[in-house]
Amino acid sequence: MGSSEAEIIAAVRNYMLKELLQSEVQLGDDTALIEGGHLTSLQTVQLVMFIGEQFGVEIEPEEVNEDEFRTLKTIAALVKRKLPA
Amino acid sequence: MLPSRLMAEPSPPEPGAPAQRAKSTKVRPFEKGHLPDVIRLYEEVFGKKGARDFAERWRWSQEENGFSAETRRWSLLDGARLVGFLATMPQRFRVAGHEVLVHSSCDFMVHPDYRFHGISLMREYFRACDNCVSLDDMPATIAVLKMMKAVPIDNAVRYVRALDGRVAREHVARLSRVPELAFVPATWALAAYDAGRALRLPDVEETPDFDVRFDRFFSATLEARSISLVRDSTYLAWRYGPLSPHRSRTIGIVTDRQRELDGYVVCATAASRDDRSGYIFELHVRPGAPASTFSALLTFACRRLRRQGARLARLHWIRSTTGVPEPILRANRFARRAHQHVLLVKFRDAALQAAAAEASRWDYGFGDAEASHSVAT
Repeated sequence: MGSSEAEIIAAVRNYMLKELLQSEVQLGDDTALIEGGHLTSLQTVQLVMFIGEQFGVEIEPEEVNEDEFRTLKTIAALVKRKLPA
Repeated sequence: MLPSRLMAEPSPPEPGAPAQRAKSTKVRPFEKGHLPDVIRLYEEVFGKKGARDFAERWRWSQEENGFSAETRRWSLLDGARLVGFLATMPQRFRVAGHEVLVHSSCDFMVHPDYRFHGISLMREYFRACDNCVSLDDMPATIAVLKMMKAVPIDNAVRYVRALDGRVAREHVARLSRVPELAFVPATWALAAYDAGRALRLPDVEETPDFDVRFDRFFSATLEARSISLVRDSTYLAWRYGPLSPHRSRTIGIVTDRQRELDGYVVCATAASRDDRSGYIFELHVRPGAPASTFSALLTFACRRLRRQGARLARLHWIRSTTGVPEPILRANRFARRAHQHVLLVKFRDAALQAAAAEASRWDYGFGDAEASHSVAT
């Protein structure tokens, strides 16, 4: 299991492209996920579950918001914050 | 029939679809001035008929539900534009001896361009309401409810029974060209079968209203109903009253020698002309009553629904201490369908949550869930 920011971004991107997105999309580290329509509420919940299983961290409902899930980078920062030091 | 749960969660955009606009949304308490926009949003998401039904049932569901001061409503706003809405339906529950107010979400919707933001409305609902109960079948809604720490307790299963031979024509593609008249003998046979059964079963009497005998029935069955919506004649009079989407209901009762209730059934046909279904909303029987009481009420409901034009009787079965056992449903020719709803609950009090997690203690029914769902319209 990777835990650097780059590794978290790669894992989340890979999961989103394989499991959540039906179309061929380019997901850059700073791609706007919500504004770009890449995350619905169902997809977000699936992503939260993936993060829990992959990194062993629990995302609280309050943390599922526009700021934390804005881009792959912000998601990685959230996961990194929650990982044990 | 409307989509089974009122949350718009359409498929992801097609390749090449325009990207969504930048958004900055806020959840705000609903204000009366938002209502026209809520109705407009409803129409955008669910179509004109859905919006008309929603507007018609507003007074019943939101203003005269017995707990209007406790009803919670939120609007999701992007600037001045309303892009989402969630209301609750408060209902009184008795949970392991404690009476508590429980909220179920109803009329939850978000504009398709704001699909992520539905989570904010749901989060507000769970933050504001101590006790939440939901019977749902939309994967998106169930997933969000689970994320809010609602716990799945049990599944509700759909059962159907043919009332009219023409359902075969509607459901079997190769029969669709057979003239309707060819199915008349099958309908007669089904009607004759039910009439024959009714003669051998306890008498069921049709009653116009929920009288005081219903209060005595619920008091007498209190012990068996460890976790239950608090039903009484006042509640049922509102639930199936003149403003209810199910106001066309028929009530059947089986009584004992003292004319007290042994059990009752409430059924109604779908209001839509496109839906030839009849729904059995309530069927409760005094614990210890014979299986024939259930069968008599089921047969009564099937015969009434057929007479009112229904071609298929529908019952969403969920385990219930005073409800009909599954083997009796099957013995009455009800067939199980694969589709399921999930009962999810979250009580803030840990002891209540622990009690509620035991499915066998529940006495819940389709009619209870439909108060907030309004699927069968």
